Amino acid sequence: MGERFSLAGRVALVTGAGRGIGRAIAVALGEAGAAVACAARSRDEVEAAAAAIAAAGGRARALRLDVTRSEQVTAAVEEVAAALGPVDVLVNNAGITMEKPTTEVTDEDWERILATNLTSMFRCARAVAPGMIRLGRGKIINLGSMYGVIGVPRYAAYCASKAAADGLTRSLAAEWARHGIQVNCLAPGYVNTDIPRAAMADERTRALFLSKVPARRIGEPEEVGALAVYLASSASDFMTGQTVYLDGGQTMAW
Amino acid sequence: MDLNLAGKSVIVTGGGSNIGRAISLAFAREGTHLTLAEIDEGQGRKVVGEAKSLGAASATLVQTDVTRWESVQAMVREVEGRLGRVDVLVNNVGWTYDRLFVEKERTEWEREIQLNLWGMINCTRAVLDGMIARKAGAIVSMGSDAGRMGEFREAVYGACKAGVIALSKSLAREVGRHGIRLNVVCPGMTIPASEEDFGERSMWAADTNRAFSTPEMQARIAKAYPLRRIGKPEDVAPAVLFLASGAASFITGQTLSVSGGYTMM
Repeated sequence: MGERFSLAGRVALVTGAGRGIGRAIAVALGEAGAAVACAARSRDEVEAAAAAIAAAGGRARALRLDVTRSEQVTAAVEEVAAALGPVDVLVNNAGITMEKPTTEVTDEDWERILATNLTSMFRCARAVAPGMIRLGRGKIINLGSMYGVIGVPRYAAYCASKAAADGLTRSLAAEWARHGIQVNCLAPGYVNTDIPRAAMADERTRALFLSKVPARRIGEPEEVGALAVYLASSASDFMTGQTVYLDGGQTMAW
Repeated sequence: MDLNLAGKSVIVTGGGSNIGRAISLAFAREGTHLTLAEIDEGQGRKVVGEAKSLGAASATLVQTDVTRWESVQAMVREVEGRLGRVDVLVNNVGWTYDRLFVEKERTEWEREIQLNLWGMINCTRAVLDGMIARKAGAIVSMGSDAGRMGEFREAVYGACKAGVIALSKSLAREVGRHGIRLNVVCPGMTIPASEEDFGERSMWAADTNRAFSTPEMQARIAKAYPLRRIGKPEDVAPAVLFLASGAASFITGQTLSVSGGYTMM
């Protein structure tokens, strides 16, 4: 079974790979044998992520990329193809969030969140798909969120963008199935990264958060990485258009 | 990615035929201690032999009727006595008669409920005490897209599979705090590759289901799947292994359709 979960010979592009979940996914894909292009806005962070993969014996390349800029996305996909080979795994992970009462959310706030979280997924998918169609195979993993299905106050733009990731996933899955491309949505719950960690520093908040998680703990970035490897590998070749929640049971959508 | 399943004690119900056989053999390749809880002795022995040659740490047939609580209890006691524990239970036994609801005999509904739902309830109940005591365990059950979306000619079967999903979620809530995870994998239609791959007690041996095995019928069915083919038992096994392994340690209460895009929700 090990070989079904291997990514040897595969080339992966991970957006938002500089820190948190994106970095953990990039490292996990690298450990599974993929050459990984780590893309994000901050050069220092992507270089550190690429260096971590290289230090573990993997192949990686750091890329500065603002996913809200179409021309940068196109250039990044070309650069990866030239440096590592055509992209056959895309992880649409780049995302931002904001907590604000909806009456105070400006047009600019809304558009910035939708552009970064949702439109970027479309742009990156559109950019890699022709190459995947030529290869006759490909894997696209869109990062959704538990927030895409549970109603969370003061997170309207973020929740809407993550629910939209589901719709985008299913449409692309249906459209590109005939080309051997599988598109799935990886939807984490609370994971031990900067924002939840900061929120849970307060003991009462932590107890409240955990009371809603059947597993009684939050997830670790490495656990998201393992699911990404499954969704990127041939082990999931007959699975497409699915959303998998990784949240200790907090969301049990039908 | 190493799933670290070597040495785990794994029970696969109905592990002798079709999807169950593929799951059993996949666990065997990982070096697990495999127990086939199978009603068909001949088919079970055959697959135990295959499992041993593929690298199982051990492979044992425990003849089991999952619809009978005493039989299930005895099977789990035997495994716990022999290996000390059950790390993974795969509720794979399944059965359907391909017939419209209004044309089905009550005895056929009852058989579907017995095998699909009571079998899962019995086996799950029987392993839980040990898993709770050890604060660890993974249960993966086979659902069906019929249980998520509904399906022609599978009304009661679909109801049972919806039950498997709901039971898994409720239990995931109850026993999550004990470190036990329950998840469901929904295959699409998965037809055995050859007559060797199922026993005479399998649903695939029933006359009403043999019609699916013709190439014309399979070509027709494949058109309904976005990935344009019918599932193979080997398509499903990696999902089951993943969910059973530590790689899925924060995933519980989830239902995964591994069915070529037939169901997307």
